[in-house]
Amino acid sequence: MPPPLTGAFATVLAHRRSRFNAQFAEARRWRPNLDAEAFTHHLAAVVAPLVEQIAAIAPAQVEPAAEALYDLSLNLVGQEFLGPRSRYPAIVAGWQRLLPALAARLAEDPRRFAGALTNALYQLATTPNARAAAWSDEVLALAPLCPDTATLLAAAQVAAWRAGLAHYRRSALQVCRQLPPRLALAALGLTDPARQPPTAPQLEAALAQLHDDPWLAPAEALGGKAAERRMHLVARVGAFRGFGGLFLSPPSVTCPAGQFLVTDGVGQWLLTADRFGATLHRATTPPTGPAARQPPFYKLDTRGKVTRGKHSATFPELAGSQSSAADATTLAVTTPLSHAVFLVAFVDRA
Amino acid sequence: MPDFGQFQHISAAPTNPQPAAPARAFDVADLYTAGPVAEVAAPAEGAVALDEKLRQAYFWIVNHAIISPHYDLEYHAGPHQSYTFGDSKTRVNLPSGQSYSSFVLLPLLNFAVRRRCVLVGGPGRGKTASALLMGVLAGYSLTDVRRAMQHGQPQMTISDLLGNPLPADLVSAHSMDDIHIAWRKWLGMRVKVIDEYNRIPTRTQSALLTVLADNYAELLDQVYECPPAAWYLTANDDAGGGTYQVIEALRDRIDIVVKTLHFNTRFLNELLTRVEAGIDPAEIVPAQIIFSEVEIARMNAEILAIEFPAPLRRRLEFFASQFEFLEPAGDQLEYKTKDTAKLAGADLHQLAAQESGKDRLKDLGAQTKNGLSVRALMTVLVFAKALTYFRGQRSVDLEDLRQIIPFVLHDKLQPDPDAPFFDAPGNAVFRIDRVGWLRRLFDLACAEYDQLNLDHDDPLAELEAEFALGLEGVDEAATRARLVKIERVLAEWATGRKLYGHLFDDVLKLKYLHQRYTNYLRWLTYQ
Repeated sequence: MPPPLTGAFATVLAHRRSRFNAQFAEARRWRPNLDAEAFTHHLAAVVAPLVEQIAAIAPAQVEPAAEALYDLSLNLVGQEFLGPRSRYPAIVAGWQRLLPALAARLAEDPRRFAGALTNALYQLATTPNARAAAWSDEVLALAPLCPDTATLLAAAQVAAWRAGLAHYRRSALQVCRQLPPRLALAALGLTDPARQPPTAPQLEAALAQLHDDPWLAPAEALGGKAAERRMHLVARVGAFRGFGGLFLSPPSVTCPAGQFLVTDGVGQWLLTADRFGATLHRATTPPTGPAARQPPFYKLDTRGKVTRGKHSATFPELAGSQSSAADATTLAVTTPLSHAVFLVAFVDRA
Repeated sequence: MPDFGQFQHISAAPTNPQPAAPARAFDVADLYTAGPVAEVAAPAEGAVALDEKLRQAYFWIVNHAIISPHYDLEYHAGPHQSYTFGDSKTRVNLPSGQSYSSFVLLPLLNFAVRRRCVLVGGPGRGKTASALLMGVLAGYSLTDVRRAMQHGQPQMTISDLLGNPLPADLVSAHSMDDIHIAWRKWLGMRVKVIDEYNRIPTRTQSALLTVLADNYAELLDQVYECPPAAWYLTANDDAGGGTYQVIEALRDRIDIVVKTLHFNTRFLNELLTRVEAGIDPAEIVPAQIIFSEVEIARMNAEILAIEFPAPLRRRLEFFASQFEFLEPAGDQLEYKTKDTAKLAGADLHQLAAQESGKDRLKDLGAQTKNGLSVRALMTVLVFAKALTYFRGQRSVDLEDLRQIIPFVLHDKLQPDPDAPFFDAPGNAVFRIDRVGWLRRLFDLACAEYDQLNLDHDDPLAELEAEFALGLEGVDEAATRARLVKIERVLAEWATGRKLYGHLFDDVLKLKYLHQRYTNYLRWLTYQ
C-alpha cells in the first residue's frame, strides 16, 4: 500500500486533477499494461519525494517538475521501465538514487535532465556487462566538481564509456578534451586529490594515446608507472540467442575497414571492445572497405597458441578456431563450439 | 504552455525509414537521446530535419487530434493484398507502403507550401478543427487562432473583414492619406482561416479575393501588405452553394480541395475517451511540432528544390494537354479551344457533336468542359513536390503525382456529365466521385501515354532537346536541316492522324520551333 500523497506534489495533483486524469486515461489507451496501482505507487514512492525536494530548493519549478515527472512516469511505467514491475531495475535504482541527489539539477529542466539520465541508464542496463550502478556512483562523485548541468552531463558521458559502453570510447575522449583538466581526470577515474591536474598538452597527449590503444589504462597514459602488459584472453562477447544472446549459430569474425564485423550467417554486428567493456551493434550497412594489407598482428595456431612478436600464450578455448581477425591491438577469434567471440589483447593484469 | 504529457507524445523519428542508412558512427551524445524518453535533446535552429518534423506533426494529428482512420492516399511497396466486395466489385486494398489520410495530410502540405486550401464536407466533421490546428502549428495560441478566424455570414461587410477607419481621422482628415485604418489582426497572421466562406456576401467576397490572391488589403486608399500565409477556407457545400454563390475568381484561387471523410463508428470509444478526459487536443499541441516563421520559410524553399524529373514532367504534359482542344470551336488551330467556345457563349455539346470520326469515349478531352489553367498546373507541381518532400524523398515519382492530382484539380477541371465516358458501364459513379474520376482520368492518360510509347519514341522530345542547347553556333545548313526535320514530322502526323488534345499541343510546339528557326535563319542570312 503506497503512502498517502501529501505536500507539494499532492497540491499540484489536486490543482490539475482533471488533466492528469485525462492524461492517464489517454495513456491507458496507448499502453494497456499501465497499471493504476503500480503507477500510484511509483508516484508516491519516487515522484512525490522528488517534487518535495524541488519545492524546498526551487519553489517556482514545482509545477513544471511535477508535470514533467508525471508525464515521463506515465510513459515509463506504462512500458515497464519504471514502477514495481520494471524490467530494468537499474533505471528504477537510478531514479531513486541519482535524481534525489541531483534535485537542484533536476529542477533546472526536469524533463530533459530526467529524460537524459533515464536514457543513459537504459543503455547501461541493456548492454551486457555494463555497470549501471558504478556509473551512478561516478556521476554522484562528479556532480560537486561540475559548475553546471551541461558540464555534469558531459563528464557523465565519459563515465558511461568507462562503465562499459566501449563503442563510445573515441567520442568520449573527444568530450574529455572539452572538460577542465581536473574534471577530465575525475571523469577518467583518477580521483586522487593529491594528483596534480595535467597541463593541456599533457592531457592532449594522454588522450591521443588512449585513442590509439583501447587497452591502455588512463592512469598509465597520464604519466603513471607503466605496468607490464601481457597477453590475456580479455573478453568473451556474445551468446546463443536461446540464452539471451544475439547469435543463432556460432559466429565468424572479420575486420574490414578496421572494424570487427561478426556474423552468424543471418545477421551482422559491429564489435567494439576496450579495457572497460565490449559491445555488439547490429550492422544495417556493414563496413565494406578493402581488405587492407595489414601486417600479421597476431598468429594463431590450431592448438590455440597465439603469438605476437616475441610474446606468445596458449588459450585452450581458441583451439580449432573457425575464424579470426585482428587489428593493431586486438585479436578476435571464434570457434565452432561456442556462440561467443573471444578477444585477446595485451593488458596490465596479473 | 503547460505540458500535457501523453497527448504530447510525438512519433519517434524516423517516421518513414528509408532503406539506405549511412554507415554507423558512435557518438556519445546518443547516451542521452537513444532510449525510452524521446525529445531529450534540444536541437539548434536549422539542425531540424523539417520533413521529419512535418511527418511527426502528421502522426501526432492522426494519433491524438483528429480521429481520421482513413488511408485513402495509398502507397504500395511491393505486392499488396486486395479484396472485392459485392456485385459492384468494391475493391479494398491493403497498402504495403506507408499510406496517409488525405483529410489530415493535405491541409498540412498546404501549411508547408503556404497556399490556399478549402475544406469541404458536412457540419461537425472536423473542418474547422483541422484549420485551427494548422494555426497552432504556426505557433499561435489556440485563443489567437480562434479570435482571428473569420466566420462567413450574410451580413459580413468589408469593414468586418478588413478593418475600420479611425473615427477621429474620418472627421479631421483633409485627404485620404490622413485616414488611418485599424486593420483586423488576422490579416497579419501566417495562417488565415475563413469559416464557411460561401456564406460571405458577394461584395465582401471581392475584398477577400484581393487579400487571398494578391496578399494585400485595401480600404479607403490605404493598403495593408499581408505576410505569406497558408489559407484555410471551409464550406459545407462542395458545389459552392451556401448562402451566396462563390464568385468564380475566388474559387479559381483555391489551390487544393480537401474533403472530409465520414466518422468510422468503430472508433466511438476514442470519442468517448475524449469526452471523458475533457481535453481539446488543439490546446496541447507539443512544442516539438510547432514551426517557427523561419522554419516555414525554409521548408517552403526545400520543397521547391525537390526534383521533378523530366520523364514525369513529360507525362504530366501529356495528361494536361488532353483537355483544352475543341476542334470545332475555331478556324485557326490556335483558337480551337474550349476557352474560345466559352467566351463566345457557345453550347459545348452542340460543338462537340460536330466533331466527326473521333472516338469520344477514348478522347479524354471529351470528359471535361474546360482545360487546365497555368495556375492549376503550377499548383500541381508545387503540391506534388510537397507530397514527395513529406514522404522523405528528393525526387517526385509517378505515384506522388497520381495521388495529388485529384485534390488540386478538384475544382479546376469541370467534368461534362453528358460525356459518353460517364455512360459507360461502371463509370456512372464518376459523375459523383470527383476524386475517383480525376484519378481514373490520370490513369487513362498514363495508359495512353504508355501505349504510344512516348517515353521512348517522341520525335518532338528530340527536337526540343536540340533546341534547348541554344542557337549559338548553329549554322545555316544545320538550321535548314532542323526546319526540314520539323516539317517532316508534321507531314507524317498530318497523314492519317486525327487531332487529339495531346497532338494539338505538340503541333503548336512544332510550329513554335519552326518559327524560332525561321527567324534565326532570317537573321543568319541577313548578317
